[in-house]
Order: sequence, then C-alpha cells, then structure tokens
Amino acid sequence: MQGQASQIIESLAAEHRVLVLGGMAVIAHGLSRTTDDADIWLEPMHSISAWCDVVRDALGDFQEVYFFDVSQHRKISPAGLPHTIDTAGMVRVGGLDRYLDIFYQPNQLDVEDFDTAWNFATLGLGKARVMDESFLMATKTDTARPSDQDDVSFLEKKLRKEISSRLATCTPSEATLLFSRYLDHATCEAALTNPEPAVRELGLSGLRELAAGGNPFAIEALKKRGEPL
Amino acid sequence: MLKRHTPSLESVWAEWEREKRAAKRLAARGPRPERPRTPDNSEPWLKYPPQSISDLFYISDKVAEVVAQCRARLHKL
Repeated sequence: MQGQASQIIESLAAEHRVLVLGGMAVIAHGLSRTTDDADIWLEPMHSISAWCDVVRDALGDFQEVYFFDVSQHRKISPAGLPHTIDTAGMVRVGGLDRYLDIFYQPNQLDVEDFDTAWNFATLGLGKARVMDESFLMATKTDTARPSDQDDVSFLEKKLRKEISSRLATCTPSEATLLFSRYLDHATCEAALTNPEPAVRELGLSGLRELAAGGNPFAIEALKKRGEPL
Repeated sequence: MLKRHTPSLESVWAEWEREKRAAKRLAARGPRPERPRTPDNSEPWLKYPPQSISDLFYISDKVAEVVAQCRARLHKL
C-alpha cells in the first residue's frame, strides 16, 4: 500500500521536478539501511512564496498535516512557511505516515545547482529522480551525523568502482566529465591504463593534485612511475 | 555548478593504514594454496531495482525489521 509521504512526493513529482536525497537516495543507490523520513528537493520557482504555494497545495488533502521548523524545533503555521524556507532552506512536514523533509536549498548546495543536479541524476523513481552520488555526498559533507559518514563511505566506494571501470576505456571528454564528479587515487590510476594519452594525462594531473594535498597513495603512485611530485 | 567529490584526507590516511596493515599480515603469513572464493550469496531486498518511493520505504522497513529481530535474539554468552 502506498504511504502518505510517498503519495505527496509522487503528486509533487507529477507537476514539478523532484529530486530524492537523504537516506532514501542512499538506499536507491544500493545501501541496505533504514531511514525514518523522506527528503526531497523540490525545484526552485520564481519566488520563495510561489514555491511555498506549491508545497501547501500538495498537502491540501491531508487533514492532520503540520509544518515544523527543524532549526527552531517548533511547529509553524502555513503562513510562516516562507520565513522558515528563507532562513532554514527546508521544512519538515509532520502528521503523515513518515516525516517528509522538503528542501528549497539542501546543505552545501545552491538553489542554482538544481538544474545540474537534475541533469546528472540517472536513476528514476516514477517521475521523481534520485540525486546522483557526487551531489548526494556534497549534501552529507560537514554534518555532525555519523550516518552521513557511513553514507559517504559507501558512495565513495561505489563511485570509485564505477568510474574506474569507465576511465580505463573512455574518451578524453568523458574522462573530463567523470573527473569533474569524483577524484581519488584509484580513479586516477585507472585513467593511466587508458589507451588515450589525453586520458592518461588527466590521470597524472589528478595524482599530482592529490599528492600536493598530502594523499599518500598518490605520492606513492607518482614515485613508482618516476613522475615529479 | 558541478560538485566534485574527493575523499577527505583523514579517510584516505585511514585507508592507507588499513592497506599497509593487511599487506604486512599477508606477507607474514606466507604463500597459501588457492582456495575457492565464496560466491555472491547475498539476496536483494527486492527482486528488481527500486522503482518507486514505496520500494525504498519497503527496503528501509525490511532492514529495520531484520535488525530488530536480530537484536531480540541476541543474548550474552
């Protein structure tokens, strides 16, 4: 049976672009974990007030629903929604089968990042999309939650594996795109096995960048190859 | 703007130390005969990739259920 939070997400996604983030997105990327809430990023509108109207309209049929300002730890009235969005960048919707957190501006991202995040999302859930790993990791950076560190560790491993296998055979333009999403010593070393000299050069320059930051794997890889640090 | 992620230096150093310890352990153990590798015996929560928000909630609920069952059965030896 479809829950109330799912219904709201799907009804929002029928009319607007909706990205799933948070724990649900990490589950969609393959990690078996639990989550008590649903986090979504609803596309920006021409004003905060228009955005809030869309949110309020989507909740219209649900009687027990209420808004909660997580930063202030208090319930807010529907009229107070624009102020909360302006100051906290998100609102929690309570009174459903699960909490639904609707973001106007997720952690570490700008409102203007929505289009790029949308275009980079390759997993679909009905009409909603799941935020891609690199954007998802950005939202989980510099938070105090231990579960975010576990999520980042899982997403790093996943991206490393996927990107490394593509870097071994891809074209230079694809390699540039891949490195613009994720960079670590293993992906750089995978690029060094590519037959295209331009991709290998990208791998080397990535290793130099990491070595300059003190990455021990990158320093060792460059030394082994007799490359200057 | 595209968000490029690079693992934190702290996690890279932790990985570096793990790998060095594992290499030392393997070197100390010496060569061993080939053994069969355990096949992938994991079973997905769903028989198909998640296709809806409800599928994700289903996985989360099943994980929570299994964790609760395991915890209930745990006892001190």
